[in-house]
Amino acid sequence: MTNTEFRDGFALNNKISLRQLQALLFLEIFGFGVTALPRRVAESAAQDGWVSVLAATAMIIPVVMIISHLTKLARGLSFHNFACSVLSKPLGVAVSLIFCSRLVLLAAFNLRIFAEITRQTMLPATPFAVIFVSMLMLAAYGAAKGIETRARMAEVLILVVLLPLIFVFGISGRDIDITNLAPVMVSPIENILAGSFSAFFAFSGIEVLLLLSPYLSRPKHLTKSSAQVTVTIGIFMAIVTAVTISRFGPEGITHQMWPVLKMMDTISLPGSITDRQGALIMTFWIISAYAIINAALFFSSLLLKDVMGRGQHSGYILALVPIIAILAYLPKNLVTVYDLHTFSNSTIGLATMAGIPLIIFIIAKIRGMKLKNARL
Amino acid sequence: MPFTIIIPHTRAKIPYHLLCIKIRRLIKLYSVINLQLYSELEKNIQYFEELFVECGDWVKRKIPVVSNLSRYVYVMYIDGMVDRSVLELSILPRLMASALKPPEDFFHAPIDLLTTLKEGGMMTADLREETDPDKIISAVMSGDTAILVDGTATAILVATRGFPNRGVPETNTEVVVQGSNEAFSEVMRFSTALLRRRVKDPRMKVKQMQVGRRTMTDIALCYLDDVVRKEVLERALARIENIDIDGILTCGALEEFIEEDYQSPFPQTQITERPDKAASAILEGRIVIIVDGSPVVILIPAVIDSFFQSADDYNQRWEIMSLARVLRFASAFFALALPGLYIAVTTFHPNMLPMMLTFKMAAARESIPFPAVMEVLIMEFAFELLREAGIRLPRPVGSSIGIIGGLIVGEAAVSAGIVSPIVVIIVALTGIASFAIPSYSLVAAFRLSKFLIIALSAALGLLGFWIALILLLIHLASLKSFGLPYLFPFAAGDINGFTDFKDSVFRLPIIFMKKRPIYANPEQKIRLNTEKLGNPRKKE
Repeated sequence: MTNTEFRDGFALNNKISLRQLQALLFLEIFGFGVTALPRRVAESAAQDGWVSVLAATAMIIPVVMIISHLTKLARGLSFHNFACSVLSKPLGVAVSLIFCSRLVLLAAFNLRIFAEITRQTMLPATPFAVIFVSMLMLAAYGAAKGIETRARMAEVLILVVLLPLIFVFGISGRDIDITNLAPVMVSPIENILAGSFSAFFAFSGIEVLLLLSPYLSRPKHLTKSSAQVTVTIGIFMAIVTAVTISRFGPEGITHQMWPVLKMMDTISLPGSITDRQGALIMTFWIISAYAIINAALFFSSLLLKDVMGRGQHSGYILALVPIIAILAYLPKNLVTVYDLHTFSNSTIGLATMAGIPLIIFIIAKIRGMKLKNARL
Repeated sequence: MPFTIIIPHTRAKIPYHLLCIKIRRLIKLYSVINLQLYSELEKNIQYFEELFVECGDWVKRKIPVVSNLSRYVYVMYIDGMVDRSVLELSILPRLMASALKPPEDFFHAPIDLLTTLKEGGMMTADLREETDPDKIISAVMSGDTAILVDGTATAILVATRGFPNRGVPETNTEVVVQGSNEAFSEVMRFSTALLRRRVKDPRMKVKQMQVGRRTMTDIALCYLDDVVRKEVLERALARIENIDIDGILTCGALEEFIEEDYQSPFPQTQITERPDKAASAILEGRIVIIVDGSPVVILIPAVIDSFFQSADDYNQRWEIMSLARVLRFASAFFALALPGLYIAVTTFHPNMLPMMLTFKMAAARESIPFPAVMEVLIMEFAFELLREAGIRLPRPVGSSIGIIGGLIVGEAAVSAGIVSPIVVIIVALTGIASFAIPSYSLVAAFRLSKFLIIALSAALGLLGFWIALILLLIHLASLKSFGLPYLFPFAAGDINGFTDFKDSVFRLPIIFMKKRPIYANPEQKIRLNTEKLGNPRKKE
């Protein structure tokens, strides 16, 4: 069987286009990130929560640009190999393992949150482990199919996630009270900044961009593409936050654990045949959970494979499945999960999203690594 | 009795001619020696007579062509495979006549009998020389007549193919309201002719091959040489050449060998019986594979979008056909997901439905002794049974099965309290939706996948429903058809500038479809030149 590659760069094995990359990032970041975001920012910045989201977007843009620059600088090398070449092998291994741990924790906490909420709201009689294992196995199956399949999935799923969201938020006009957003920009700047620090972690998952270098078919315009998608995500998040705050009010929203989901559930659809938009919520919820767990599993196993330097990718996925399952199962309750999640975000999350890329960037600059030498 | 050879160590008896064939094949396989005919006619006759021993349909005759010098030719063909009128009116009379009139320089120069016969002995243009015995056998088996000539190691092969056939049949499974009713025939040459009649461009190539050690099935690949993607063509040729099987009798068998993932229930090649659809595919840069003996052809590559397109889409107004397309996509969702969705909602999330509907459904299910999933499975089983029985039964009886099954059994099942009326509606809608999809093979994949969705929905409600859908989507996203993503243009649509969406969920006016779809070679993208058309909206 011949494996002739297509001249127009089409269907290159294990390569994705920048548009597919944008779809992947949007799906991974936007879905799960936005569900609790309005509450988190409203707790600090009240009705100006949406401003905090925009400020967080402005903060994440330089990070994204640095990460994109590093990805291009990697010249198709895997992150592990690139980190080893910049930082030396022992440090490279350590950095790869930190990234791997971050992604495993991200998958585990999100899995636990997903399973808890699904059981509480939709499947009270279903054993916890069944929900847990079914989602994990689904994510593992998707991860084992490789980057191309993940990218194509993202292109299709993004419509499935966005359409219900746009539909619900588009018709929510009669249920929202725009005066809940007034007065604008009266919150103290430190509150808005505190809100934007919370909103910053809604972009968790952006660091996987650093791991995508070997998979990009034409990375020349990577910086522009990744900045575009980040701004788009930021604007979407700000709109969702503004609409949700105006629906529940800056006070009321703090009592909602998942304000976006609650809003979807309670908006009255004109002429609807459903009393509750459970199907829409489940669509949004399941796909978002799948996207983030699948991405975390895919990239963490990839890092592990690179560090070990042998074996099949699917083997490492299978190896990580029980580890993620155990980590997700360990916390006693949802409150503990949130505490751990917040702690991991502000430590290892901050390190992988901003700290480590910045250090690698500075060392690469000192060592004189330039883009013009990179194969784009 | 053909003589046999005993192999010393095993004491196995092998007929001489089989041994000859094996040895010849072995030599051909492992060496550069090119086996040829003998120049002595008698040796050739002995070889072929050993080979065709006990083949009752094999006709042969030794004919003197220069009688006084005892120069002969040996004519052989397979009875029933040849057009006897060509043979008996254009070939044999001339051969026999040449025996009475030897050439003028007969006594002065050695005769080049082969040239003499070719130039004066046959009233046909379609003949060729062949020296390879295997190719001669293959040609004879396909309906050609072989003429072995004394004194030369070359045979003349005359195209005399003429099999029993049913002509050009009418379409049966892809009926259209307007448009051609011609369908492909089992005879490969008729099928190529039907295509050639529609695409009169010499750049449409018809590459012929044979597959099957015993069946030697003729296969033709038809494509536009400059429009086809060379990568796809190379893959197709390589995959067909690598098939080493005793026989291929149907398109379906060949399909399994050439598609990327034979384990998938989803078709990665498209089947059609319509020459106009196949010709349109050729114009798009696709390859049409014709298998002799099969009344349908294979179109490659095939992405999921192509299974929702029908030949009728371009015979009628684009507005109404766009609606039809949307309906087909919606039907696909219903055919796949409706029973699973019903089970998930009624069993796990009844509060999602309006109160009145929930009460109505609960009242309808009150006396039903089974859970919703059992009800659905019973009705699905009955429906699949009816569908299968409807195919097997003769056509006039088939319709009565539908009436008996649909009306009487359904009504009786509801009256007996075995299933609720709403389940009958759900299963009937699912069945009707499946018939709205133009591709039978895609419907078959949906029928199978439906049960996965039913199973997971019954176990996990809407979570299971979505898990099943995502599983299917992962599978579809991982599929490729000759290197092209199966989910195109819904995934990777940007590669062709999103132009394929113009003929996807909606069918836009043909004037908008300036570019060929993704199947075409990127250097031959433009298919419509609108310069002379100007602005069609502007009235003169």
